[in-house]
Amino acid sequence: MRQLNPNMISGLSLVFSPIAYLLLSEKAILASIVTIFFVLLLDALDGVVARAKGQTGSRDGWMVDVAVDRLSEAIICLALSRVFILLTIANIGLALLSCKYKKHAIIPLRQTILAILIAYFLLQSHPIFSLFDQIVFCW
Amino acid sequence: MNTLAHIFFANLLLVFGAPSIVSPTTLIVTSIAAVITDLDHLAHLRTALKTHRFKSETRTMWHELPGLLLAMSASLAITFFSASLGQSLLIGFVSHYFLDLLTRPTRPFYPLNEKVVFLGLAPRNLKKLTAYDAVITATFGVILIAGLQGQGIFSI
Repeated sequence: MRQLNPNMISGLSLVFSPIAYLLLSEKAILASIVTIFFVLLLDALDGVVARAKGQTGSRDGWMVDVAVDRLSEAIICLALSRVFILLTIANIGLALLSCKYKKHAIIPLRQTILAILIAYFLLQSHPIFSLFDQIVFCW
Repeated sequence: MNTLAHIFFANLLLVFGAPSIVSPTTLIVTSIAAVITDLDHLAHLRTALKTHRFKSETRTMWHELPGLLLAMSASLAITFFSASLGQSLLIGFVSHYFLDLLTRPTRPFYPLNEKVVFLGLAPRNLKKLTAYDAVITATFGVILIAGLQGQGIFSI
Protein backbone atom coordinates (compact mmCIF):
# COMPACT_ATOMS: atom_id res chain seq x y z
CA MET A 1 0.00 0.00 0.00
CA ARG A 2 2.90 2.33 0.85
CA GLN A 3 4.28 1.94 -2.67
CA LEU A 4 0.91 2.54 -4.34
CA ASN A 5 0.88 5.96 -5.95
CA PRO A 6 -2.47 7.53 -7.01
CA ASN A 7 -0.79 9.03 -10.11
CA MET A 8 0.41 5.58 -11.15
CA ILE A 9 -3.13 4.21 -10.87
CA SER A 10 -4.39 7.12 -13.00
CA GLY A 11 -1.66 6.23 -15.49
CA LEU A 12 -2.81 2.60 -15.57
CA SER A 13 -6.36 3.72 -16.34
CA LEU A 14 -4.87 5.66 -19.27
CA VAL A 15 -2.97 2.56 -20.49
CA PHE A 16 -6.25 0.65 -20.88
CA SER A 17 -7.92 3.40 -22.96
CA PRO A 18 -6.29 2.44 -26.31
CA ILE A 19 -7.51 -1.13 -25.69
CA ALA A 20 -11.06 0.22 -25.35
CA TYR A 21 -10.51 2.21 -28.58
CA LEU A 22 -9.33 -0.89 -30.48
CA LEU A 23 -12.22 -3.00 -29.17
CA LEU A 24 -14.73 -0.29 -30.05
CA SER A 25 -13.37 0.04 -33.57
CA GLU A 26 -13.84 -3.74 -33.96
CA LYS A 27 -17.39 -3.22 -32.58
CA ALA A 28 -16.66 -5.75 -29.83
CA ILE A 29 -19.30 -4.04 -27.70
CA LEU A 30 -19.34 -6.36 -24.68
CA ALA A 31 -15.53 -6.37 -24.42
CA SER A 32 -15.51 -2.55 -24.79
CA ILE A 33 -18.08 -2.22 -21.99
CA VAL A 34 -15.91 -4.37 -19.70
CA THR A 35 -12.73 -2.42 -20.60
CA ILE A 36 -14.30 1.02 -20.13
CA PHE A 37 -15.79 -0.16 -16.82
CA PHE A 38 -12.29 -1.27 -15.77
CA VAL A 39 -10.84 2.12 -16.83
CA LEU A 40 -13.49 3.89 -14.72
CA LEU A 41 -12.82 1.53 -11.81
CA LEU A 42 -9.09 2.35 -11.86
CA ASP A 43 -9.98 6.02 -12.14
CA ALA A 44 -12.09 5.73 -8.98
CA LEU A 45 -9.41 3.67 -7.24
CA ASP A 46 -6.82 6.46 -7.48
CA GLY A 47 -9.17 8.63 -5.40
CA VAL A 48 -9.52 5.85 -2.82
CA VAL A 49 -5.72 5.46 -2.56
CA ALA A 50 -5.26 9.24 -2.34
CA ARG A 51 -7.81 9.37 0.52
CA ALA A 52 -6.10 6.44 2.28
CA LYS A 53 -2.81 8.32 2.04
CA GLY A 54 -4.36 11.56 3.27
CA GLN A 55 -3.72 13.32 -0.05
CA THR A 56 -7.32 14.47 -0.66
CA GLY A 57 -8.34 17.93 -1.74
CA SER A 58 -4.98 18.71 -3.35
CA ARG A 59 -5.03 20.81 -6.52
CA ASP A 60 -2.18 18.71 -7.92
CA GLY A 61 -4.23 15.51 -7.66
CA TRP A 62 -7.15 17.22 -9.37
CA MET A 63 -4.89 18.24 -12.25
CA VAL A 64 -3.53 14.72 -12.77
CA ASP A 65 -7.02 13.28 -12.62
CA VAL A 66 -8.55 15.78 -15.06
CA ALA A 67 -5.65 15.61 -17.54
CA VAL A 68 -5.67 11.79 -17.55
CA ASP A 69 -9.47 11.71 -17.94
CA ARG A 70 -9.40 14.05 -20.94
CA LEU A 71 -6.72 12.03 -22.76
CA SER A 72 -8.49 8.76 -21.92
CA GLU A 73 -11.74 10.17 -23.39
CA ALA A 74 -9.95 11.50 -26.46
CA ILE A 75 -8.45 8.08 -27.27
CA ILE A 76 -11.73 6.18 -26.68
CA CYS A 77 -13.77 8.68 -28.75
CA LEU A 78 -11.49 8.19 -31.78
CA ALA A 79 -13.49 5.02 -32.47
CA LEU A 80 -16.86 6.81 -32.22
CA SER A 81 -18.73 9.34 -34.37
CA ARG A 82 -18.00 13.07 -34.75
CA VAL A 83 -20.55 13.88 -32.02
CA PHE A 84 -18.27 12.27 -29.44
CA ILE A 85 -15.17 14.02 -30.81
CA LEU A 86 -17.07 17.30 -30.46
CA LEU A 87 -18.01 16.40 -26.85
CA THR A 88 -14.34 15.55 -26.11
CA ILE A 89 -13.25 18.95 -27.45
CA ALA A 90 -15.94 20.65 -25.34
CA ASN A 91 -14.76 18.72 -22.29
CA ILE A 92 -11.12 19.79 -22.81
CA GLY A 93 -12.37 23.38 -23.02
CA LEU A 94 -14.38 22.89 -19.82
CA ALA A 95 -11.31 21.41 -18.09
CA LEU A 96 -9.25 24.49 -19.00
CA LEU A 97 -12.04 26.79 -17.77
CA SER A 98 -12.31 24.72 -14.57
CA CYS A 99 -8.59 25.22 -14.00
CA LYS A 100 -8.82 28.95 -14.64
CA TYR A 101 -11.88 29.61 -12.43
CA LYS A 102 -11.12 26.85 -9.88
CA LYS A 103 -14.56 25.28 -10.30
CA HIS A 104 -15.12 21.70 -11.43
CA ALA A 105 -17.55 21.66 -14.38
CA ILE A 106 -16.94 18.68 -16.68
CA ILE A 107 -19.19 16.31 -18.67
CA PRO A 108 -18.85 12.69 -17.41
CA LEU A 109 -18.19 11.54 -20.97
CA ARG A 110 -16.79 8.05 -20.37
CA GLN A 111 -19.69 7.22 -18.05
CA THR A 112 -22.06 8.48 -20.78
CA ILE A 113 -20.28 6.34 -23.39
CA LEU A 114 -20.56 3.32 -21.09
CA ALA A 115 -24.33 3.89 -20.68
CA ILE A 116 -24.74 4.33 -24.46
CA LEU A 117 -22.78 1.14 -25.15
CA ILE A 118 -24.90 -0.85 -22.69
CA ALA A 119 -28.04 0.48 -24.43
CA TYR A 120 -26.43 -0.34 -27.82
CA PHE A 121 -25.75 -3.91 -26.67
CA LEU A 122 -29.28 -4.39 -25.34
CA LEU A 123 -31.03 -2.84 -28.35
CA GLN A 124 -29.30 -4.92 -31.02
CA SER A 125 -32.52 -6.65 -32.12
CA HIS A 126 -34.69 -3.52 -31.83
CA PRO A 127 -35.97 -1.71 -35.02
CA ILE A 128 -34.35 1.55 -33.81
CA PHE A 129 -30.90 -0.12 -33.79
CA SER A 130 -29.68 0.97 -37.25
CA LEU A 131 -30.35 4.64 -36.41
CA PHE A 132 -28.63 4.19 -33.07
CA ASP A 133 -25.66 2.55 -34.79
CA GLN A 134 -25.32 5.52 -37.16
CA ILE A 135 -25.37 8.04 -34.30
CA VAL A 136 -22.75 6.16 -32.28
CA PHE A 137 -20.35 4.91 -34.94
CA CYS A 138 -20.85 6.54 -38.35
CA TRP A 139 -18.55 9.29 -39.64
CA MET B 1 8.61 10.09 -26.02
CA ASN B 2 10.97 9.85 -28.97
CA THR B 3 9.92 10.69 -32.52
CA LEU B 4 9.97 7.10 -33.81
CA ALA B 5 7.78 5.86 -30.94
CA HIS B 6 5.26 8.63 -31.68
CA ILE B 7 5.13 7.67 -35.36
CA PHE B 8 4.85 3.94 -34.64
CA PHE B 9 2.18 4.32 -31.95
CA ALA B 10 0.02 6.69 -34.04
CA ASN B 11 0.20 4.37 -37.03
CA LEU B 12 -0.60 1.37 -34.80
CA LEU B 13 -3.82 3.11 -33.75
CA LEU B 14 -4.55 3.85 -37.42
CA VAL B 15 -3.78 0.37 -38.77
CA PHE B 16 -5.59 -1.59 -36.05
CA GLY B 17 -8.30 0.96 -35.14
CA ALA B 18 -9.28 2.36 -38.53
CA PRO B 19 -8.14 -0.25 -41.10
CA SER B 20 -10.69 0.94 -43.68
CA ILE B 21 -8.86 4.25 -44.17
CA VAL B 22 -5.29 2.91 -44.20
CA SER B 23 -3.37 4.03 -47.29
CA PRO B 24 0.13 5.42 -47.89
CA THR B 25 -1.40 8.95 -47.71
CA THR B 26 -3.14 8.44 -44.35
CA LEU B 27 -0.01 6.74 -42.94
CA ILE B 28 2.08 9.79 -43.89
CA VAL B 29 -0.53 12.27 -42.60
CA THR B 30 -0.78 10.38 -39.28
CA SER B 31 3.02 10.32 -38.97
CA ILE B 32 3.28 14.07 -39.60
CA ALA B 33 0.49 14.84 -37.10
CA ALA B 34 2.19 12.58 -34.56
CA VAL B 35 5.46 14.53 -34.63
CA ILE B 36 4.53 18.09 -35.62
CA THR B 37 3.70 18.95 -32.00
CA ASP B 38 7.36 18.41 -31.10
CA LEU B 39 8.48 21.33 -33.30
CA ASP B 40 8.41 23.62 -30.25
CA HIS B 41 11.35 21.61 -28.86
CA LEU B 42 13.61 22.88 -31.65
CA ALA B 43 14.21 26.17 -29.86
CA HIS B 44 15.73 24.18 -26.98
CA LEU B 45 17.76 21.73 -29.05
CA ARG B 46 21.15 23.11 -27.93
CA THR B 47 20.30 22.69 -24.21
CA ALA B 48 18.83 19.24 -24.86
CA LEU B 49 22.03 18.08 -26.57
CA LYS B 50 23.90 18.91 -23.37
CA THR B 51 21.38 17.44 -20.90
CA HIS B 52 20.30 14.58 -23.26
CA ARG B 53 16.61 15.33 -22.65
CA PHE B 54 13.90 17.89 -23.29
CA LYS B 55 12.64 19.15 -19.97
CA SER B 56 8.95 19.92 -19.35
CA GLU B 57 9.79 23.66 -19.46
CA THR B 58 10.60 23.31 -23.16
CA ARG B 59 6.96 22.47 -23.88
CA THR B 60 4.86 25.43 -25.06
CA MET B 61 1.08 25.71 -24.61
CA TRP B 62 0.67 24.04 -28.04
CA HIS B 63 2.22 20.92 -26.51
CA GLU B 64 -0.37 20.71 -23.72
CA LEU B 65 -4.18 20.61 -23.36
CA PRO B 66 -4.76 24.01 -25.09
CA GLY B 67 -2.80 22.65 -28.06
CA LEU B 68 -4.81 19.43 -28.06
CA LEU B 69 -8.02 21.49 -28.04
CA LEU B 70 -6.86 23.43 -31.10
CA ALA B 71 -5.47 20.38 -32.93
CA MET B 72 -8.65 18.34 -32.37
CA SER B 73 -10.89 21.24 -33.41
CA ALA B 74 -8.93 21.77 -36.64
CA SER B 75 -8.92 18.03 -37.39
CA LEU B 76 -12.67 17.77 -36.74
CA ALA B 77 -13.27 20.66 -39.17
CA ILE B 78 -11.15 18.84 -41.79
CA THR B 79 -13.28 15.66 -41.42
CA PHE B 80 -16.15 17.53 -43.09
CA PHE B 81 -14.02 17.91 -46.26
CA SER B 82 -12.16 14.61 -46.06
CA ALA B 83 -13.19 12.12 -43.37
CA SER B 84 -10.10 9.92 -43.78
CA LEU B 85 -7.68 12.86 -43.69
CA GLY B 86 -9.37 14.37 -40.61
CA GLN B 87 -9.47 11.01 -38.85
CA SER B 88 -5.76 10.41 -39.58
CA LEU B 89 -4.91 13.84 -38.18
CA LEU B 90 -7.02 13.20 -35.07
CA ILE B 91 -5.27 9.88 -34.43
CA GLY B 92 -1.83 11.45 -34.93
CA PHE B 93 -2.45 14.41 -32.62
CA VAL B 94 -4.25 12.54 -29.82
CA SER B 95 -1.67 9.73 -29.77
CA HIS B 96 1.14 12.27 -29.30
CA TYR B 97 -0.41 13.93 -26.25
CA PHE B 98 -1.38 10.50 -24.91
CA LEU B 99 2.16 9.06 -25.07
CA ASP B 100 3.72 12.23 -23.66
CA LEU B 101 1.36 12.34 -20.67
CA LEU B 102 1.92 8.64 -20.04
CA THR B 103 5.72 8.61 -20.11
CA ARG B 104 7.05 12.15 -19.56
CA PRO B 105 6.67 14.98 -17.06
CA THR B 106 4.22 17.44 -18.65
CA ARG B 107 2.40 20.64 -17.69
CA PRO B 108 -1.12 19.82 -18.98
CA PHE B 109 -2.73 23.11 -17.98
CA TYR B 110 0.10 25.41 -19.07
CA PRO B 111 -0.09 28.48 -19.31
CA LEU B 112 -3.03 28.54 -16.84
CA ASN B 113 -1.01 26.52 -14.34
CA GLU B 114 2.66 25.54 -14.43
CA LYS B 115 2.34 22.44 -12.25
CA VAL B 116 4.40 19.56 -13.66
CA VAL B 117 2.54 16.24 -13.78
CA PHE B 118 4.34 12.88 -13.93
CA LEU B 119 2.44 9.60 -13.76
CA GLY B 120 5.46 7.54 -12.72
CA LEU B 121 5.06 4.87 -15.42
CA ALA B 122 8.49 5.53 -16.95
CA PRO B 123 11.86 5.79 -15.23
CA ARG B 124 13.37 9.26 -14.70
CA ASN B 125 16.98 8.07 -14.68
CA LEU B 126 18.42 8.82 -18.13
CA LYS B 127 20.04 5.41 -18.72
CA LYS B 128 16.94 3.50 -17.66
CA LEU B 129 14.72 5.88 -19.65
CA THR B 130 16.79 5.30 -22.80
CA ALA B 131 16.47 1.52 -22.40
CA TYR B 132 12.71 1.87 -21.66
CA ASP B 133 12.24 4.04 -24.77
CA ALA B 134 14.21 1.58 -26.92
CA VAL B 135 12.11 -1.40 -25.79
CA ILE B 136 8.79 0.45 -26.25
CA THR B 137 9.81 1.81 -29.67
CA ALA B 138 11.00 -1.61 -30.89
CA THR B 139 7.79 -3.26 -29.64
CA PHE B 140 5.59 -0.68 -31.40
CA GLY B 141 7.71 -1.03 -34.55
CA VAL B 142 7.44 -4.83 -34.69
CA ILE B 143 3.65 -4.80 -34.10
CA LEU B 144 3.21 -2.06 -36.72
CA ILE B 145 5.20 -3.98 -39.35
CA ALA B 146 3.12 -7.09 -38.61
CA GLY B 147 -0.07 -5.01 -38.95
CA LEU B 148 1.04 -3.44 -42.22
CA GLN B 149 2.01 -6.84 -43.59
CA GLY B 150 -1.41 -8.14 -42.60
CA GLN B 151 -2.99 -5.30 -44.59
CA GLY B 152 -0.76 -6.04 -47.58
CA ILE B 153 0.68 -2.50 -47.53
CA PHE B 154 4.19 -3.50 -46.57
CA SER B 155 6.16 -6.70 -47.00
CA ILE B 156 9.60 -7.92 -46.01
